[in-house]
Amino acid sequence: MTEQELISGIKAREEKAFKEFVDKYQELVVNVCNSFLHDRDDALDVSQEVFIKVFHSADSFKGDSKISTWLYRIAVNKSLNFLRSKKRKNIFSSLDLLLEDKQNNPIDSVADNGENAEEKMSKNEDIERMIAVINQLPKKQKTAINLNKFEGLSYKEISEIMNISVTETGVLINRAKSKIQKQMIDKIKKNKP
Amino acid sequence: MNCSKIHKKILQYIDGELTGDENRAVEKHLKNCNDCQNLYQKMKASWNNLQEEKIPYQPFYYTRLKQRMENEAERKTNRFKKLVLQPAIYVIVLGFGIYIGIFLGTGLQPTNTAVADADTTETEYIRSYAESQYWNGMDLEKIEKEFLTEKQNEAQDE
Repeated sequence: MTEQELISGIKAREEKAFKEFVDKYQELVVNVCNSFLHDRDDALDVSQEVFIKVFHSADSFKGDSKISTWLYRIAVNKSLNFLRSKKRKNIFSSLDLLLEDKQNNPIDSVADNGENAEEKMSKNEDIERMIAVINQLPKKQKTAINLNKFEGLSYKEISEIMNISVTETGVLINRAKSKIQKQMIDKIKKNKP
Repeated sequence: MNCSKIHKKILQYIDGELTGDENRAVEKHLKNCNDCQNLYQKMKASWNNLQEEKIPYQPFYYTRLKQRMENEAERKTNRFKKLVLQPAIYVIVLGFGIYIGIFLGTGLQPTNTAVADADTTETEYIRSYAESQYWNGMDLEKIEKEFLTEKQNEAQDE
């Protein structure tokens, strides 16, 4: 099926077309989400939301842009929303911990976060630090740098996804890089023995 | 180029985005400055390893997605039932109950004239009953008196 046929099929609620569409774009969507979330399970979870959104709002796709551009847009928005809600949850959970004055049982906490702890331990400290710096960037800079760095998209493709000019995309990426290198250099210098 | 200028161009240097002259200047500085060379090596390692390993094609992805969509549809139906349908049924049943109650209550009540008649009849009946009781009482009293006088007469006779 061509892209147009797939979209027409999804609009007509044909399961075969939707399955083919999901199979075709699964890797792209999952990896875009992962480039923002840096967590495999979260990426798989949010990517499903992207396809559900596609299924329910296929009618809104007019065909002005490429399907991949449309998908990137939805995936970026869903990932940013997820990050925002996760941040809010983290604030509340840390507040809860403060208020409850819980007695932390180290064995329990290791068991609860077993998978996370293993993942964190296996990741390089510097990479984690860099990811943390990227996550603190303003929304537009974060989107542009993630799509450029992790997805390897050109400035033109990013500009189409973000609905901005190519020049603006370049400015966003350069600003993001400046902030990342400044903060990373500061951190490396601080940790210097 | 001094160290601080190099620090501002490290990522662009790593990504090969500098012009020929700038590139050469950075290379030259890195060869002569150990601190900047170390910094460059660390930044390069982090920046280049930042690319997450790609998540490969997931064979059961569509099945899981379909299951989730079905679950969400079911949850929506349940939420509709719980938030809209259930209270609506309760309200209808309650309203019907109240209506039936009012209807039955109205059916038992007599009309205005009937009430007046019933009042009069009942009052008269009660009065007549009370009077009969009273007269009966009086009668009983008379009989008792008669018995008493009879007894008194008999005693006198003896």
